[in-house]
Amino acid sequence: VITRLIRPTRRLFRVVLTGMTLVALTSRAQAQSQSCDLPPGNNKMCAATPAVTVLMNVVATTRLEMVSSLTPPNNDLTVADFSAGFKSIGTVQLTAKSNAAASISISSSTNPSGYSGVSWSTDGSHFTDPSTLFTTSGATAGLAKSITFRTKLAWAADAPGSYTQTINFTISAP
Amino acid sequence: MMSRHSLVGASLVAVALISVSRDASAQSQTVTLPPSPAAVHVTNTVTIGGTFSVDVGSLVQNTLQANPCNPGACYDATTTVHANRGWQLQVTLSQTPANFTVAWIEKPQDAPHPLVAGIYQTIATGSSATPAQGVSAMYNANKTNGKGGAVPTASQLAAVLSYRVIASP
Repeated sequence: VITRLIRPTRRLFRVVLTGMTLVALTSRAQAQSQSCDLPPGNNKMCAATPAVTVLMNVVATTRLEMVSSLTPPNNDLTVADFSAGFKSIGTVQLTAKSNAAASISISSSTNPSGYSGVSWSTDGSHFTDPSTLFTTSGATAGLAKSITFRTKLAWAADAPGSYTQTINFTISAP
Repeated sequence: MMSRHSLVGASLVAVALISVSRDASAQSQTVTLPPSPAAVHVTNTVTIGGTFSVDVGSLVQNTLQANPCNPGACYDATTTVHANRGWQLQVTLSQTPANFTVAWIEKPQDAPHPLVAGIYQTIATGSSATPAQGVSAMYNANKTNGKGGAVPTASQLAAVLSYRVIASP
């Protein structure tokens, strides 16, 4: 049902975009001046190859797709988890497609009182909570990164209860 | 009775709803630059239950010979409690010993509390979470009346003591 609703809108957008492009190109072409002089009485065709310069302003564009597979603890923490100081809660897959350099960073909302919050790693083993996850040095057709998350646990800090926290993934141009 | 069109329509709606549900659980999002910066979000809800643990430490016979350690012998035990909320440390006997009886000695009154297999006796409490709270306890063990009764060794006593930590009321 949603696809049915979206498809006509996409088609309309495509038609409008194509029309705008043609108008722009025509305007540019008309601005080029061409001359072709024929001697009087010469009825041959006057051929001239117009030189058309098309100027395109390509903006830096980046698309970031995020798929979360996080499974936060749901009343299933064990003594072993507390003893370890953490519990693994899964990964978030980030895929960047870009025609320019871009930086992808992470932040989390303030830890709720009674909860130690999350820790993350870009390599799955070093949980150093880097704020910058990765950068695209230039154009990329699809740079994928997996970010691994843990919930931190401490006996005296993580009290029984339900806690909600937001993790933000921010993409920015340098 | 439903027509074929109605059935097809209902099926499509069901498929669409299932797709939406899966997307919601996967928390998939896309964002595009410009404008810069742009962000996507993941919201997690963590539910933590009461979690408790006790590490059983040493159990050694002490040299006290006065009441409440006479008759029999007294033993000093150490344990370490871990809890993420208020707690109670309890002890019981894993089985009824054949040759001796055991009592937990409440301090500072030196009041003996006989232990019965399967019935837990609270021996310490804490009003808040603790990463590692050491708890000391003293026990008195005495031989049973009749043939075969004997004061246990520390290891024999340790073998029948069983601890647990529960939430404080």
